[in-house]
Amino acid sequence: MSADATTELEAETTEDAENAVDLRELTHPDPAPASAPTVFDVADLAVYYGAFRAVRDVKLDVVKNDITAFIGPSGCGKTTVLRCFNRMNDLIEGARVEGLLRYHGVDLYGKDVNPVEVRRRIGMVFQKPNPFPKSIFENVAYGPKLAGIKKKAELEEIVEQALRDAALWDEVKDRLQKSALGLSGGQQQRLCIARAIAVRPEVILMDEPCSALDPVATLRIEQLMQELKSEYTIIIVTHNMQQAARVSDRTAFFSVDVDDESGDRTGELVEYDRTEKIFSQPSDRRTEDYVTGRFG
Amino acid sequence: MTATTVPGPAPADPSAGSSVSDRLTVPSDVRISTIKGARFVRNRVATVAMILAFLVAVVPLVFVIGNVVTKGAPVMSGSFLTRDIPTTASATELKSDCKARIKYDPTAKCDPKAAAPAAPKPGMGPAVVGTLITTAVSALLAIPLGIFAAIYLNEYGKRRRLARFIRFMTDVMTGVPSIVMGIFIYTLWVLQFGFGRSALAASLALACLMLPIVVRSSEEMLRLVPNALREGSAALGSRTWKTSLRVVLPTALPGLVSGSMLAVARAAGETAPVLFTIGAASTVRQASTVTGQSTTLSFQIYNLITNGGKLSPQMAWGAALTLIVLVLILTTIARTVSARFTMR
Repeated sequence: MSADATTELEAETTEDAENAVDLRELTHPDPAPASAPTVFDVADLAVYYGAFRAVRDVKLDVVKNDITAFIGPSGCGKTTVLRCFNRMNDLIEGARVEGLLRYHGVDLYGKDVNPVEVRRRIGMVFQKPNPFPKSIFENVAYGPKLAGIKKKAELEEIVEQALRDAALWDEVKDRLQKSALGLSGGQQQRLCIARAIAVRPEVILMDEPCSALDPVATLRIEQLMQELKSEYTIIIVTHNMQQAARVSDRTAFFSVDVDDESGDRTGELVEYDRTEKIFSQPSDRRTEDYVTGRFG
Repeated sequence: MTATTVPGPAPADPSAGSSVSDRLTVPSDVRISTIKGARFVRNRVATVAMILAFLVAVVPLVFVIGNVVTKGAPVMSGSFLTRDIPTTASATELKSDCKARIKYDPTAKCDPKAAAPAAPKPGMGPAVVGTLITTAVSALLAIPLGIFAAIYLNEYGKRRRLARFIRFMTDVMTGVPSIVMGIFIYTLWVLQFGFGRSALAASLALACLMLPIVVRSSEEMLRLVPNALREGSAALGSRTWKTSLRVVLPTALPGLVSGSMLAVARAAGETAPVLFTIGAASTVRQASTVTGQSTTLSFQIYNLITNGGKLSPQMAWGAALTLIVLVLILTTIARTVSARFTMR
């Protein structure tokens, strides 16, 4: 997509966002009012692996059609928290979540919530591109097929749209039946994004999506995020502060707290605010040290 | 930073320096060898030992295959593969071997002085058919069951108590001698249930033998599938069973095929479980059955060697060669098919 088109798209963001809401109201009826800007509200969230507490005191609201970035040093629990949002931690033996994580006002960890339904609405892109060892077409069609779409023509339409949205269509349209493993790393990651958006989720979680990619591919994914923003709410975990500053609207800074007695390292949310504020005038000293490079 | 490996003029004798970093310093000219003599010797000895070990391991294999091919090839022909088996001791053979025949079959009518009729060509047709049928039926029983069990163990059970118990029992089952499987099916299926001997009974015994092999090899193969793929599938709203069927199984397919073919090869060559369960058949028509009595190549080899007929050893070699080729063909077909379905 050209630079002009990008600007144009950004200009129309508000309008698109409203359209997107209307569409989603049809497909995902939910009790929250359509005007509610908050998608997630998190309070006192803590994650345990067995007896070990990995993260504590997470409290933040994720706003619709925002890009929210999680930054912080290694081991501070950014990824762990991200994986709570689509209940991916359920797949890890011994992982346990305490506190409240509400999605449109509904507790995601409530008794009547099926994690499969959560993941159907909240997609995820992983740190390492993980395309299935299937054809490019089958990779993108996997989600829609699970959702019950069987007609070939419909699948073809969805796959093309998803690949176009992920800015990959022109590169792969002539080899849709070829193995996805033959693509480059950056292409594979965009394929994974296409796979995630093919099921029309409301939220996309991205776990350091660019850490395995070169700067050119990284830029491509960042542009893509800006394009996707009008239709999706995005939460991204990143090691790269510049990336957070470039792409996100809000930033959450996590840090590691070392217990003096036990030596346990627990991640915690230090500060959550608009990205400009986090990077220009953070209210917490630790945030300032981190974003200015004086990490301590 | 103490270890200085900066290229440049270095002491001629690396061991002369007293500190560790001095000893690590090597001349920058790469043509100067710093590897000590003993290391060369050890390297040479290890290389030779490994080559020798390989040769020793290959000798029995080459010997067995060479022997089977040279001794089995002369009787091998289209008619050998399709003709009926001459009864335990056909008249031709028994003209001279009458005593031997009476020894193994006291009811046999035998007149040493009778004139020999035209020699019938020996064949293994029923055994070929019987082997294919019993192997196919046992594979049909054991492979799906074994793979589903492996899916349970790896995708659902994991470290749970039931899964650990099943894993332990399959390990025990792998170690159970094959004749025990034969006795088990014989007492339970043939005698207790009164179904009698049949190709199906033999297949059941062979399936019992194959099952633990399939379960354990499949579980290992499923374990090799990266978790990232399971997570990727789950993140799209896929249930565990769909992830297992649509992502994990196709990814592990080549490994599953290899493991299953190992089990098939084992079953095709087993004699003991077949011994009391299959009964007997001497014509291709008799052997073309699942529920009726039949025979297999391995069983015929055993028979031929123990009945002491004159032509028997030659036929046994032929049957052995047939068996090896059969397993080879089955494995090749399975590999080709799985390669066709695998995306790389």
